Amino acid sequence: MKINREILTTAGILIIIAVTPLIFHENSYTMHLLIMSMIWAVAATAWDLLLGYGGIFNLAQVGFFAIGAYATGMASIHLGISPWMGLLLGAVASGLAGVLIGLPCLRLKGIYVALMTLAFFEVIGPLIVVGINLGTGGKAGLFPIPPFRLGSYVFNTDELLPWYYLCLILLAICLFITYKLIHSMLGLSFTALRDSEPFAQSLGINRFKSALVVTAIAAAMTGLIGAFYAHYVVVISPRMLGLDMFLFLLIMIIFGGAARFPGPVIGAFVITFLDDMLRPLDSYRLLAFGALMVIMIMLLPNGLMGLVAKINIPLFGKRDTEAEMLNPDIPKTY
Amino acid sequence: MILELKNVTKTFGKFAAVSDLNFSVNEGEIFGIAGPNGAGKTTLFNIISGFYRATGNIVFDNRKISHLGPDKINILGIARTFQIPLLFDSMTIYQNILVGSHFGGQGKSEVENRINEALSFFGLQELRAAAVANLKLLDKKLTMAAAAFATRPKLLLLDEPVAGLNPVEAELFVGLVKKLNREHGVTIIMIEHLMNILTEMSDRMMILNNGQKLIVGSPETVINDPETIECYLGNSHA
Amino acid sequence: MSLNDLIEILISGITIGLVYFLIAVGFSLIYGVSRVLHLSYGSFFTWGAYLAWIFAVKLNFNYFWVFVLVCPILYIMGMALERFVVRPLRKRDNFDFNVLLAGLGVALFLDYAAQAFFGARTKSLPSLLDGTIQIHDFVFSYQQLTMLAAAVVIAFALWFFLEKTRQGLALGAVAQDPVGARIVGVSLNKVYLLTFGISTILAGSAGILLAPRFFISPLGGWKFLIKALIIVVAGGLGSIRGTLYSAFLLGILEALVGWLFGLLWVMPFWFLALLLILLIKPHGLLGSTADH
Ligand SMILES: Nc1ncnc2c1ncn2[C@@H]1O[C@H](COP(=O)(O)OP(=O)(O)OP(=O)(O)O)[C@@H](O)[C@H]1O
Ligand SMILES: [Mg+2]
Repeated sequence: MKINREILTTAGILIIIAVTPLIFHENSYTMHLLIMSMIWAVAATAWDLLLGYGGIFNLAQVGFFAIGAYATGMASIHLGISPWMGLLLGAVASGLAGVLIGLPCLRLKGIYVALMTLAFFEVIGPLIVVGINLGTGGKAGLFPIPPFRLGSYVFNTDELLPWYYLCLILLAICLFITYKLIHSMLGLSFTALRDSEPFAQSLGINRFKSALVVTAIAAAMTGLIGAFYAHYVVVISPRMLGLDMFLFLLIMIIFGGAARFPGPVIGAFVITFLDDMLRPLDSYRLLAFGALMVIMIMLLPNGLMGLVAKINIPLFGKRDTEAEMLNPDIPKTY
Repeated sequence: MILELKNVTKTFGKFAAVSDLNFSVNEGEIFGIAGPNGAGKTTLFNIISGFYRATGNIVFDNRKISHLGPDKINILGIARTFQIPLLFDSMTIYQNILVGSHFGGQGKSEVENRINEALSFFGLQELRAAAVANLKLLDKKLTMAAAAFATRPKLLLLDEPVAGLNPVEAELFVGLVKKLNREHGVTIIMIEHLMNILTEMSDRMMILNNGQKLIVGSPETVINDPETIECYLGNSHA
Repeated sequence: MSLNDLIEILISGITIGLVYFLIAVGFSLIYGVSRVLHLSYGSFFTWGAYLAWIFAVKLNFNYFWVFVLVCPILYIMGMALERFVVRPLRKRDNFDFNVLLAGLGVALFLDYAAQAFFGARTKSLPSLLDGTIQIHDFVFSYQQLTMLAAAVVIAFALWFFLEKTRQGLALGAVAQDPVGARIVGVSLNKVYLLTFGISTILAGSAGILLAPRFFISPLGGWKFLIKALIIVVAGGLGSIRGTLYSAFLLGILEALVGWLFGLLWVMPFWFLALLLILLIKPHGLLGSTADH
């Protein structure tokens, strides 16, 4: 792996996250916000893989988050499986759901994908509510979702440090997978499809296959972190399928920079803390976020990372061209 | 015979952009297509390369391909360029060609060789690391053709490859097309408005008008055909 | 299920369908003409109702004046959105993606602006007309009937505008072939402005007509946006006649499913219906293949 701007930024972020508890571990509220930031960071990064890199307007990502959460929640409450298995189950269940949604949706094009997935997303909530007999907990929600155990140690709400580092590990794994994916031939294929679908197809790329695989991977990552979330917050309900999370994740992606890995991670941290600071503003807070979203798109379409890329930092070597930023690992000469 | 079309028709609503077309292309030839604007030339390419579903039958290399999608058709050995240059704008020239070389055609090995061959054949070695978004038109067209070539096609469809180029650039491009045909044995179907270029390079040519075939034959027979003269040469390019 | 039940379901389905047509048609128009997936459409639906609430409840105007006053405001809001958000994005790469997200941002802004100004509690509008009428075994409220009448009037006005007026024909021309329309001298920007203005009026009027029945809340527009989306996609993006058919089809489905299994099942069934329609006709009932 060649060292480049993306790796340096990502490593920097992970190291900062890893050492932050040295300062804040006493402050459980800040710790909680940091954990939530990491959770959103994974969800936003996975979503950006589709929206930013793949140009696939899949609007059902929050649904996959919920599927992951409910999979582990229901299995660990009703079937008593271990939460560790639950993480895996969440990822697998969401990945499968991604394939199932993808099969009909991805045959369609562009805007139709957005509509179909949005419609699907809207249906998950009602399904959870009507599925109360299947053990979804219905409208009231599902609780208490048991915590992780490590030997005789039980994760608990008094001690956030173990949650924190577990979440960091999951974040690191997901970022690694994402980075590898973007720079693989699969990544090349979906970026090619995004740039020009007809040209990509005329050169032998199978649009459906490429889109389906990336949808499944993004869904699985989202499901994984959704499962973690379920154990962390103990109670989940269909309310997580509301607009808030949906819009917040999008704002994180836009703010950090779509298709500017690891922009959405930065976006997740900034927006989570900003949201918390603006809490006293009450409903003006979301109004402000709406305005921020529009302004960012109008004025800074490539987000924070787009801005960073324009700045010459000697440490990072010469300024990357767009193309080099996209696929630095693919050799430019043999 | 490498490609054969039988009773191919494509309608948009009630309008037949290509209607009941029959013709075949021989292995190793350069086959020129001309016709007025809106005659259905590009539509025909879109049909052959799998972008449009049409009625009728298309056989390539002894296989029926009328039901296949564009990616499958490329893998069987048909590559194409587009009338308006299409490229992967966020990538370098090298990466554009890499896409063709890695995903297209049949041999999944020799990816590097194919890229290098395409780069040097089209004279793009120097520019390989350049981002394609800001290239001049000639280089865009060369990159598009190089990516198509990197899929190792048996049949290459070129849609107005020299439109918009100045005479010197056009000549360079035409030279490359001939060389591709002669040295690599690639069968070529080329759409072109300029009659002199087309008659000079084609082994055989076809005139399309209103989605229908007016005439197919050697350049001499075609340009001396009264119908051709009336329909095509008469109004613009005499 | 008796015959009377069936008739009742059908009547209620047709009523719902007509209302849904009203909601969806503006959305369909915008997509058809300007290829914008207008995700803040639902917020204008809400704002139409809130503006009507100001005039009707706070200032005590009657409904005639409410419409006269609210429509121009909606028209200007729609045009402002086109002029200051959509048009600048049109010049840049990734228009589809950016306009989608900008639309969400605008929606968020408008919805929470509504919440900040009007509070989170629901508001209601007085009925358009009070009273009921009985025909055979069936009881209709005047509210329901005026709503139907208004919907028919609006649908006809729209038809007249699109088919019989110069500006309406220009809209159609742009929807068919923007490049060609520009060549023959239609100003695309003007047409886009007009389209956004009119669609916003359509969204807002639907909001006003439905408010007496459904209440007004800051986030209430989303439910209708989603419904509009499904209707428009099922009917074929950009096809107004397709929108009409699918609105009725889904309206009747809603009445039927509601009667058989309860309203909670309506959305899952709609989704299923959409899936089926798109599997059989990938561009919706009357969608053209020219798109993409
Ligand atoms: N997707 C489509 N939907 C509707 N009509 C189409 C479509 N594609 C092409 N047409 C119509 O089919 C006819 C033939 O178009 P085509 O692009 O094949 O012409 P052409 O011969 O390539 O012309 P030119 O010399 O201008 O490139 C035109 O009238 C065009 O408007
Ligand atoms: Mg053409």
